[in-house]
Amino acid sequence: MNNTSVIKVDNLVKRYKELVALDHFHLDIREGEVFGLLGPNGSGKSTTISCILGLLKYDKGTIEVFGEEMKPSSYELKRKIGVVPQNVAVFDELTVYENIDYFCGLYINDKNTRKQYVEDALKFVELEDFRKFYPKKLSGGLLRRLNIACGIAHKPKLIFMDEPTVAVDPQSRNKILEGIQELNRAGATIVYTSHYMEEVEKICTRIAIMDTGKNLAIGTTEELKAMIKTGETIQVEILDFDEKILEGILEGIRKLSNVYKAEYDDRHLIVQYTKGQRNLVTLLDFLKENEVAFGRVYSELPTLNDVFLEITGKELRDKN
Amino acid sequence: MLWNLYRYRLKRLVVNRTLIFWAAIFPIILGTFFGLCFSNISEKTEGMESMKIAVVDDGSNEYSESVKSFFKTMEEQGYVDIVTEDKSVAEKKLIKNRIKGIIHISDKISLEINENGMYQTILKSVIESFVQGQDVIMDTVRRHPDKMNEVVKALYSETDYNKEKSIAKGNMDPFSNYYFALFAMTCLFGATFGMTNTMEIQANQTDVAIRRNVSPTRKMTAVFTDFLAAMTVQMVVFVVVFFYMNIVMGIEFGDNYGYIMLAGLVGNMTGISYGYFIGVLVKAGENIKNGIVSATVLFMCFMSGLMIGDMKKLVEANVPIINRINPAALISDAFYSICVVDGMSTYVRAIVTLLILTVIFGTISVVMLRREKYADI
Repeated sequence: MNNTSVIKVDNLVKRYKELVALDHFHLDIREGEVFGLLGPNGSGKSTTISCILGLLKYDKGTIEVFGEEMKPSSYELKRKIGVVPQNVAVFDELTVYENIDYFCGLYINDKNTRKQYVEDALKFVELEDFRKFYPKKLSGGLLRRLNIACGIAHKPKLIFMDEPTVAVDPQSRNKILEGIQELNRAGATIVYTSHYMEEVEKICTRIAIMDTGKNLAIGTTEELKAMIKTGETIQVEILDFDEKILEGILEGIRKLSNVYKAEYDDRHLIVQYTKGQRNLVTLLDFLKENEVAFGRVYSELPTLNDVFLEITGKELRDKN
Repeated sequence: MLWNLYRYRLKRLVVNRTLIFWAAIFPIILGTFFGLCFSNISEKTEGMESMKIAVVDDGSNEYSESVKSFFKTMEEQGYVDIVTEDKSVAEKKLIKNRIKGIIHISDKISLEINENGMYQTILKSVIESFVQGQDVIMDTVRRHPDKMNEVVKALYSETDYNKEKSIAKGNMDPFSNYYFALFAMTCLFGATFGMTNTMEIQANQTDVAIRRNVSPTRKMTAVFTDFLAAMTVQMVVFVVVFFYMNIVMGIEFGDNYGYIMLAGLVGNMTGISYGYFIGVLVKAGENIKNGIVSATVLFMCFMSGLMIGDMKKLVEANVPIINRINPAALISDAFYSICVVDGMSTYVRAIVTLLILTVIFGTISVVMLRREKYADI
C-alpha cells in the first residue's frame, strides 16, 4: 500500500428529488488498499459506487479515478476497473465459460490473451469443473463465484465489490474472502461494501462508516475502535449470589477504574469498560473480596458493530 | 471484439425459449392453424350449395322485370335459389335464417341481410356489381336475352373468391391476407428482441447492463452488435416461417423471392426498431414493456386483418391514414402487392414507409440510448 490516490471524491452531493443520498461526501482511497464501505441499507454505498463509475449524474462535487476525472467516455480508465455487482449479473443462456469470455471480451480484444485470462479466472474462482454448466444449474455460492469471475477476468487494477457474499454458504464465503485478499496481494485496489462487519474487519485495511449519505468515520479497524468509548466487555457467570446485596455490588463495580457500565442479567454480571489494562483481574479480585461465587468468565473486545452502534445510534443490519 | 459480442448475443437470443416461442413457434402454430382451417373452408366452398334468397318487388322500378329476369338466370345456373317473392314471408324466413338475404327491387336495388358471412358477402358483391353494370345488363336483357348467361357468369366469377386470377403468377388463396398479416406479425414480433436488447444496455434497467456500461466497449458498438444479432435471428425466423407456409403448408406466394425477402428484411428492421423505441421510451419494468410490445403488435396485426380478414378494407374505407402508417398493414401490403397483384408502386410505397418508420424509431432509440449518465439506478 502506498499513498497514491486511486479514488478521490470531494464534496459529492447527490439528490433524488427531495432525498439527499450523498451529502457533501468525501473519500480518498489509496493504491493497494482493501477499502471497506460500511453502512446500512440506504446509507449511500451503492450510490457512491455508481457515481464513481460514471453511471449516475450527481449534483455537486468532483470525482477522480487514477488521477483523472471519471467520465462515461473515459474508456482507457474503464479498462483498469472491474465491477462485481450486488446482484448476480450474468446471462442465463450462456455457459460459465461463455459468460466469463463475453464479459472479458468487453475489455480484452486479443483472442489468445482473452482465452488465457478466462482460464485464469476460472481457476481463481475454482469453477474449472463447471465451465460447461449454465448458471441455472449452479448453487448460490458457485453463482456468486461466477459473478466475481466475470468482474475480475480482465485483471483490473481497481475492483468494486458490492456485497459479493450475500446469501452465500460459509464455505463459499471463506473462498471468496480469501480470493479478495489474493487479488489484493496481486496488486489490485479493492473497494468492498458489505453488511457483514466480521468480513469487513477481516479483509479491509481501512473502513469508512457511512450513514444518511455522510462519511461518519474513517480509519483502520483499530482506529475506529479507538474512536468510541466502549472498550472490552466482561461477562461473569454468578453461581451463588444474595440478591439483597446486588445493588451494593453493582455500585462497587461501577467505582472500579475504567468501568462505565455495569448490570446484572440472567445470572450474569455484564461490565463494560472504556479502556485500560488489568480490568479482568481487578473485577475478579473485587468479587472475591465480596464473597461472590462465580463460574465462567468471558471477555469480549469491541466489534465494528459496537463502533457502528455508537457512531450512528443504530444496528448495521436489521435483526432477523 | 465485434464477433465476440455478436456471437454471444446471438446465442443469448436464440437459447431464450420465451423469445423464440413468440418469434418463431407462435407464428408457425398460427400459420398451421390458418392452413388447416382455411383448407376446410375452401373444400366446403367448392361444394357450395346455391344460396337461398328472396326477391321482393314493390313494382316501383320500371326495370323490375329485367332485374327479376337477371336473378332468375342466376337461379337457373344454380348460384341462387329464390324461395319466395312475398315480402312478409321473406322477412320471417330471414329472421329465422332460412334465407341468406332479401333482394328488394324498388326505385333502387338493395340487399337486406340478417347476419354477416361469406354468402352474404358474395350476395352483396353481386348486387354491387349488378348496380355498377346495370346499364349493360339492362341492355343485354332487352336486346340479347340469349347472352344473359354469360353476363351472369361474368358477374358471379368476379365475386367468387375461388376463381380470382393472379396477375403476379402467385397466390390465389382466398385467405392470402391472413397469411400476409401473419408474416407481418412474424416481422413485428422482432420487437421483443429489440426491447430485450434495450433492457441489457441501459444501466438503470439491469445488472448486466451495468456491467456493459462500465466496460470500455463503446455503447454504440454494443447497440450495433445487439441489433445485428436480433436481425439475424429474425431473418432466420422469417425464412423458416415463410418456407414452412410455402412448402409444408402448400400455400402459393409466387416466385418473387427477392422482393419477398426484401419485404421481410425491412419488416424485421421495423419490428426490432419498434422494440427499441418502446424499450427506451416506456419507463416501466420488463414485464410491463413486454406486455406493451405484445399488445401493440397484436393490435397492429388485428388492424391489418390477422383476426378478421376484411379489417384492413374496413380501415381503408373509414380511416385510410391508419393503413398508411400501420407497420403491419404496410408489411401485409408489400406482400400482397408482390405475391398477388404485382403492384410495384404499392410495394415501393410500403417499403419506403417502413424504412421511414424504422429511421424514426431507430433515431429516437439511439438518442435515448446514447445518454451517458442516469439520474437514478
